[in-house]
Amino acid sequence: MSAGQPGVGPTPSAPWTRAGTAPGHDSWTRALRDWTARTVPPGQLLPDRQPAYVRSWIYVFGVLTIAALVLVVASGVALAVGGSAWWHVSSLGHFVNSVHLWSVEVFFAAMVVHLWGMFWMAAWRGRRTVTWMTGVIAFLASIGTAFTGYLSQSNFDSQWISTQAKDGLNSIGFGAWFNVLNPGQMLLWHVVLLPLAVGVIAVLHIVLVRRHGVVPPIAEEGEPS
Amino acid sequence: MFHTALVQAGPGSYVHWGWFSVSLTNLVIVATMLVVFVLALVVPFGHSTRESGTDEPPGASTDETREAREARTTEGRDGP
Amino acid sequence: MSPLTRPPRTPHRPQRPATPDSHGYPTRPYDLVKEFVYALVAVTVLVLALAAIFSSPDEKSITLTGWAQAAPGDVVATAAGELAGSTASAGYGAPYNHAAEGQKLLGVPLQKLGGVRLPVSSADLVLQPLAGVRGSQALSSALAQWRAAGATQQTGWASAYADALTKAPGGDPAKVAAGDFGPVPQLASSFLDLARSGGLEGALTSSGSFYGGDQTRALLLLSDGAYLEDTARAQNLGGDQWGMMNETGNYPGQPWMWLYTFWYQVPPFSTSDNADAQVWGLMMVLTLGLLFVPLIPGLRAIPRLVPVHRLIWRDWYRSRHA
Repeated sequence: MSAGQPGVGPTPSAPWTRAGTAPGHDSWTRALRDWTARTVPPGQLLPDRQPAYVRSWIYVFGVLTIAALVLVVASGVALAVGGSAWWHVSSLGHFVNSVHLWSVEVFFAAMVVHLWGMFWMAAWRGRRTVTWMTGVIAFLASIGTAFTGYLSQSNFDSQWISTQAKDGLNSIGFGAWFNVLNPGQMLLWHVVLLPLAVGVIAVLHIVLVRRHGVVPPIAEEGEPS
Repeated sequence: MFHTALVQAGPGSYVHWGWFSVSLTNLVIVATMLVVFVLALVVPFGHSTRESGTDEPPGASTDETREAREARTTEGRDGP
Repeated sequence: MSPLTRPPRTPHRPQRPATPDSHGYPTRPYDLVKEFVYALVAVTVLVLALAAIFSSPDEKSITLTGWAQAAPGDVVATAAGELAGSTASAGYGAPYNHAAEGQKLLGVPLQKLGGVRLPVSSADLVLQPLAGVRGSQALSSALAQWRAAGATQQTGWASAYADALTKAPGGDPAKVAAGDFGPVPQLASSFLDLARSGGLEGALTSSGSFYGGDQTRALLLLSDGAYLEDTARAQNLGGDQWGMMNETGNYPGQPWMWLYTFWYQVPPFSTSDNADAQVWGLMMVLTLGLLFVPLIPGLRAIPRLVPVHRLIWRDWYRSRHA
């Protein structure tokens, strides 16, 4: 969708350009508003209808992944309130830690089933390549986040996992900057940097799904789909 | 052929299959995922009886203008 | 363009028809917010139940005191090894020291390229805590004797002692055969005493400052010994035991690491000196493959060739034929 010609009102290809407003006009606010409106057209962010072909239980695994992520973050926030040693000394803290662990297991399980579904639907079709890629990157970022979580447990697991993982990371030179033997660094990556990355990528992924819509069925041979 | 041994090593139960070894818990998790995946594919999605309204023609899903609908082109070309 | 007016495909055309716009299809009502709330409730109930029933593991860390109590011979052997420069950390290379080239991937010395940014002296893992001990004449003399000797002499003493320990029955320092070990037996024995007393705890992390937080040196010392690995292997956590996927006890591990740990179980990686770099390189290639599936011919055709989608969209296909 192009921005239209300067000085011209709404056109079929630029329906959101207000009459008399030219792109290149000095309102950055209007430019940003126009850009967001083009990125996800009005009504598409939270539509109350879906294409008729969206009728299978496989479609619920995306939202299940999001729901599990919400629980991971919520339980993580609760753990942060008590501090990194809280769960060792408090039974409530230990329960919250268990919620955190199991929500992560459900998160990965749902995400992988979602991935399987998206693969067999060839969901990258119709300009959805970037949607697929953001999904894969979200998966990778989640693995990294989970990994730093294991390092932040301050128990035997952390000791073993860190001393093992260092060999892998050192072998390719990353370990010089990303020191898995340093819990102070790993905890901050786990609580701040990586969740931010996962969150941003997840939002991008969801925005792209809303922008392009749910991928249509694969065309059967000899027929348009 | 293969023989499977369920090893109770105090610390945890593991299933050995040749050189392949997996904890019982992980195996249950992965097996459950596969079962859930297959169920998701085959179990009928029965919401149509609960939701009111028949399928509407294209474009009824949003508030977008007719111009907006026409403005959108078919998307992308997919190779083999 | 409406899908209904597109010309039919001819057999000669190599390209498939464009995927139609998803907004050009009939729609039905669907409540996304309700779906999300249902999903959140379902996942919350499931997770709370799993957490309540199965809990989560929390095996206590191995303290240096605990190590000294459980495996004193290992502590002594490790101390001797650090002084001899024969431990894993002493011969590691980047990022800790320059002792080795490190691993290479396709001939590129990636490990070395990272640089020695976390310098650690393995001998100082033993000598620095000992230097802070007061009240032991034997230890002070031993330290003085060690510092006065040249590097070759130091290595000679320590290597001989480390060797003798491996030959002693049960690795017991008391049963070591006689030999020229210089001050090393005294240093190693004092080190063990320090560990037993709890004085070693934190000595390698705070190192003169008040706040610690970086366990690099303490973990390198611990992993130079055998006790940490023995404890892990007893729980199937070893690298050649598919350990990356596993967890202590019967708790769920990280099943999504299955492919990463798989390569370590099979040749050539299982016997390679550069296994870590090679496995990482291979996993990077496979990861890029996953990332770029939509662009890889053949791979992206699999969903069409194995029509799982016929199950997913069976209602839709049926309605089209009706």
